[in-house]
Amino acid sequence: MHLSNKASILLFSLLILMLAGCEQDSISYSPSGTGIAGSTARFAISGDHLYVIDRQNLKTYDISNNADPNFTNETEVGPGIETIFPYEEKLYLGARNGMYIYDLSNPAQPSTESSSFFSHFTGCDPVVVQDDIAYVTVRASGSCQTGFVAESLIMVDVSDSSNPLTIQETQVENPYGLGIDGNTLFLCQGDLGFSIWNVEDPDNPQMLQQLEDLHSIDVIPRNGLLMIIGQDGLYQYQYLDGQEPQYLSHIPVTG
Amino acid sequence: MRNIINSLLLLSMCLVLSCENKEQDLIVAGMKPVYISAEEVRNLNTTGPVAIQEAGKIYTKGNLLFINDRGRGVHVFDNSDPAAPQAISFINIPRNFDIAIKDNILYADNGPDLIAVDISNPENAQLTKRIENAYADELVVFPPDYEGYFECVDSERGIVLDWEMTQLTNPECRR
Repeated sequence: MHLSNKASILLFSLLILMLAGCEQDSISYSPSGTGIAGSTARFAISGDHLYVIDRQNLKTYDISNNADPNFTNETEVGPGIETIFPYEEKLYLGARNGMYIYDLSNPAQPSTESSSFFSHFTGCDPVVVQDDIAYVTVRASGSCQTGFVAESLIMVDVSDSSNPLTIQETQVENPYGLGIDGNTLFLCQGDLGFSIWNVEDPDNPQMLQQLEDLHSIDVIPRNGLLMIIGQDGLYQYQYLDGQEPQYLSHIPVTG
Repeated sequence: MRNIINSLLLLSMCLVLSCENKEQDLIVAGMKPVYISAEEVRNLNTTGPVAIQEAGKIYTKGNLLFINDRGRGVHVFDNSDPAAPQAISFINIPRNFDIAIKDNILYADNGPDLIAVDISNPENAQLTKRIENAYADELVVFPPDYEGYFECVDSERGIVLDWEMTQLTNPECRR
């Protein structure tokens, strides 16, 4: 009796897991849940909390009653925070001088885990995370220029979030936002276009394709669909591993 | 060290400039802030689809796709068919750059405020809460992505909506 009870609970949980998985994977409209932002976002939602960054502070709002957000906490992080990326109970903050990781064990009050300063770098650094690796770009051009900086894509092992370790640093030109899906990394490079990388071996990232005419600032990859925003508007492509992305549509900028 | 040198450089430049000013006006091309009143910045509304003027950040939830128009608001699209996205509406939110969505509520920056907006019906978005002066609107103290002379921001005159190129006489701010 106990066993069959356990078995049915297990089956039930499995079913829920599968359903939850489906909900995440399908592109059908569902009124519940949280959406997906690009890598340059300054707002992030994790569970019942909204996290907002301004130049140097991280602010937390309780949104358990979602129509009625309530301020719970403010933490001074450091100067020049540019982006925020939520991933598995952690917040990854991209700043002008590196990356900060905050722990959300107490989601109402994020606590600092670590800060990584990428040697002498000072640039604009969006960050995305998948499994145990954080992918960070460092751009030095335009308003981000604060001296000589090597522009690069940096991969950081964050399996121990209190002690992130740089795995690999690859020179890339003019990097802006980025996205990761499985072994494929998507990199926006402003007026230098858009590139697709294989990062299966983090020690040796390989550029697979480059769409040189596609001005790009940020990207959201989701279930084989690429949404790419740039100065000419939004482009959507379908992508499959190792194949050239297929153009789907373009929403122009006409202002 | 670099900062100190920069400050010294700036200081000496200011001194030189202020000396110059006594003799004749400095007239240069530069940027000046376009102000909006605190009331105007809080004036939200939803309209039918309009053209995107300056593409900002993107956000997606379910079949909906959101494109921020830098400093203007959010374009909402039905993206059920990514080969043919359909424009639904434009949510006019002055000085908006960022959004996030949970369930049917969209959170957005709106000038100095943080707002919560019910988008159950994206053609008729409804404000549910406004947290005034939620964060320092530091971005508007100087023109973004710009180096050169500009007219200093005077917060008494309102909130900076945008920046425009113009002819400046004796500008006191420079980046």
